[in-house]
Amino acid sequence: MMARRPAPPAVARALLSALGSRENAEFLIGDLDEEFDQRVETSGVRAAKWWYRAQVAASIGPLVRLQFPRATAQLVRGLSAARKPPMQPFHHGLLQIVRNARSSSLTIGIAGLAIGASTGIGTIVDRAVFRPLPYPEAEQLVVVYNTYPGWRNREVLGRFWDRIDLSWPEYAALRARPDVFQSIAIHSSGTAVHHMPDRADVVQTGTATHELLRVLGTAPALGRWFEPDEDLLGAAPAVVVSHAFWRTRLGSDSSAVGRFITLDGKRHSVIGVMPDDFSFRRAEDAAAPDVWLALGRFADPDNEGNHGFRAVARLQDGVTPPRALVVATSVLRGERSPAARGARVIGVEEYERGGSRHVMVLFAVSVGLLLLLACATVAALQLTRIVTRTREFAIRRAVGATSARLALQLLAENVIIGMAGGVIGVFLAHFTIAALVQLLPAATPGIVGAGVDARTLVLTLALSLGTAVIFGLAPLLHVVRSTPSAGLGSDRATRRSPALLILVGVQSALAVMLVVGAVLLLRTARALDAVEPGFAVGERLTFAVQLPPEAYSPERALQWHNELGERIRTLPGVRSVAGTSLLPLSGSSSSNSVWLQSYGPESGPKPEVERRIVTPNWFAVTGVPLLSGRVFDDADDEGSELVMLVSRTAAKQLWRDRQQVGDRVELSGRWWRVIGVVEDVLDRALEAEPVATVYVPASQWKPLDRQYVVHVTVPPLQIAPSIRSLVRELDGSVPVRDLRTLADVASAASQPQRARATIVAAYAVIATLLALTGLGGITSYSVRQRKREFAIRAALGARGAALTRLAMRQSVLASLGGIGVGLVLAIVFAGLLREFLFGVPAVDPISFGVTTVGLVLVSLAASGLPSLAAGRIDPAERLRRD
Amino acid sequence: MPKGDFLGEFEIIVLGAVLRLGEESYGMRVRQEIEGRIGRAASIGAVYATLERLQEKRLVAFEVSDPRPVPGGRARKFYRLTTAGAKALSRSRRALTLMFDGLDPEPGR
Repeated sequence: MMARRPAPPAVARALLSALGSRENAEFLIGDLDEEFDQRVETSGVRAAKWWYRAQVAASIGPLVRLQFPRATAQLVRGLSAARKPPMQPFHHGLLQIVRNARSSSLTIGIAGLAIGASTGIGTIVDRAVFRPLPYPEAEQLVVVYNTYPGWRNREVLGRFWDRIDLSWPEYAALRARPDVFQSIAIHSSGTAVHHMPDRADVVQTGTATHELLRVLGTAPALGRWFEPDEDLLGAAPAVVVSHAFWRTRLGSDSSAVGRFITLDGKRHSVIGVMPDDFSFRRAEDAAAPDVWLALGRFADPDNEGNHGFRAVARLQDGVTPPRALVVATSVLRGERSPAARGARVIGVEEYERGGSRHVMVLFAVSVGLLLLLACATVAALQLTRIVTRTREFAIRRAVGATSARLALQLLAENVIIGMAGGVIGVFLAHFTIAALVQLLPAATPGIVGAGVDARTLVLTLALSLGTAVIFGLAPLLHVVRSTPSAGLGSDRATRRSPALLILVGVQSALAVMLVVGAVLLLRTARALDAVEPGFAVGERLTFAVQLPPEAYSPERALQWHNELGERIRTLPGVRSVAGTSLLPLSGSSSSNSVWLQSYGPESGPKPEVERRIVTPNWFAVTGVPLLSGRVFDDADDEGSELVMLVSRTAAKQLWRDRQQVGDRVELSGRWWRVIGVVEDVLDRALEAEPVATVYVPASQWKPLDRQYVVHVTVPPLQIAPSIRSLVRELDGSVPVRDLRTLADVASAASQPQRARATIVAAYAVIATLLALTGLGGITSYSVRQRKREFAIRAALGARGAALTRLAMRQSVLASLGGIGVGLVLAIVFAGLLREFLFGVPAVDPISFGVTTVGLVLVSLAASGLPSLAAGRIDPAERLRRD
Repeated sequence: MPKGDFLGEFEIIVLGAVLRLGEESYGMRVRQEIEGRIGRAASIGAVYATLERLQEKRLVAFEVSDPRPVPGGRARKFYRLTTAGAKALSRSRRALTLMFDGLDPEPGR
């Protein structure tokens, strides 16, 4: 992947861009970005970003005054107009908020926190689920697959049975049906080496036929796409680059079209630049291509065996996906039986977004719960204040204010609080989104370039107004319904509002649901971390090298890799070096079908296994134990008998009780003698079962590519620069890929689960804090309201502890009731989580137990502390005051 | 002489920086020169706003360079004093010199 320069803060940059004048905005931004880059070098990224934000903030005044000299003067005059009648409720509301600064800040803070968290997740969910795809009439776009129903029960290939790509002849056959497919293109992806004057880098490539942009309905921002005659074997090398590539590697040159770049040693002419928002790729690829190449230059149109092309098509007007499926099935199946072949047609929406839908639902539900909880908390706090303001409202009523007017003032207050919360929410949303982008897997749809944007701001506005209305309802109803004389006279409002207790119950229930969810997901993450992957991960570095087939024969490649291995071994701090064709837990598969000599003559379907090509010391370096027989040694080379090691699962599945060592296995057209059995290693994912795997020596297979594992005695990344220079010495045009520690590889395998757990846990913590705040606030208010009652009881002999218990009782009972209801609802919520859990059942007694105990204790503390005041009332003092 | 012919404080500083920087005089460098030489915090927005006003008064002129021939290279806007700008700057300098001739605002420091 390309090295990325740190980018200046996006929100600040966008703001500055909006404020700058038309003539100078470009230069202003350019100058500030230039100084930002300098400061990144001298003071670090973080300091540079804060400096950038400070610069933008300081620039707002001068730029606004420059742009709007008249309007600025008007604004100053206009602020005083807020005192006139139409704006009075807002003026009053603002005054009230300022007068009760402390409680208002708390309320605004809670609203801001909830809105920020909701907007953050809302933006991610919107981008992954709702935002329209950037293709016109996207409902007419489909992806077409082959299906092999016969594969469904197969060990390794079974999970791919309905997702087989097309061969070129199959694509040509579908293209011959323009009555159904208005246009159809095939594409694939890979990597290439981009050679620059001072270094070589790996870039992601996309290869596609010339119809691709016609299918998608988009066009390049500069230049053009491939013509049909550029999409043929032997055509001149041409490339269309991505917007990011154009920006970072071609200097945003407006005359980039016509320039040349060198890919894989060949000069390619740049014929076009794609727009900024074009990120089309295969759904399983983590990153969109940096450059696009014409597929026809590489593919043999007659090769029926290569099913490596993803087909995307635009349906003819009036043709529905079911109809397309019927036609595709008949074309792709041909004369074969339905059990052997079929087709699958899915809309591009489902294709790009289907996989992440459940996670997005989980997040949306969690954040919805949090938002409700925040509204309940704020409503409770507002209600406590309203009830103490009954006297104020009564007096105002007495001098002529209508219920409507009072309600309007309350509404204005709530709207101001909501909007103020919204402003805080926008800032928090920026950080929430940034955190989510870091946590979530890179392949999550829409996550690339996620940030605060216009849709986010609309969402924030809607949430701010919505929460203002929802949490304002209870206080509003209270004001509207109370009689004019309530609050006047000496009879203070000592009634216990049932609404408050209901809110306590609601808060507790919601908190239970979120905490249970968080505990379940955290236990899942713990369970995954405890899974033994089957190989040692500490003190080990890994990297990969791919040698170009044009320059290296298999023999020369083997020599090259052995030479590199030798040189690495001599580095200080290196204990040993080994290599493999595919790292464990890489998420990829490399499988072959095999046949055992002990099965007899070949008959029936051949079993499938994963195949790995390793150096002799692979098992020693990765700590995989030998179970029987022997491992490879240097004597196993091209001159000697072909040998193979098998994993425990392979031994069990292929040989069952029979002796493995000594038997011969047919693999890829050659026969290999089994010399030993090794322990299983987790290949696919931590929560999957081990797969049958066979190992062959690199000296006998001679692959061009190798993934290295280096066992070190120093911090692994310390030797990275030495490794890079060793590779450069051997061949300057070959880059080092995927250099990282083996521990990172293993932890990346459980990253999605940890991300989910972290996100929901964060919400659960916020939820608990909110519930705590609400419960504490309500209890405290209740104690204040009942001071007279407590004083009388104290005067009659009641002890402090008894009064405290009395003060707590209602809140605690309401809270316990809420916890009970919450536990029932949590069972439903846990069902929603089932597919994300590992090693823990959905209705897990430990998780539910811990949650219950925890929240009960929290409730007792939250209501107990304010209640202590009840026990400390001095009855004489209190009664004298009345 | 009309009041409008005299420059504001920040305008004088910006013109001074433009004069001092000569051919290197573009937004970022002007800002850095002001901060580095006299220790006054200057935002890029204030610098550009002032340069724009000075340009409207025809006290500075600008030239846009070609994009620099490096990856990510961009065009820059270089400023220089016009004849009128040089005269205005001299006038302001003379006015300050005359006003403070023989005076020390902080005697004994």
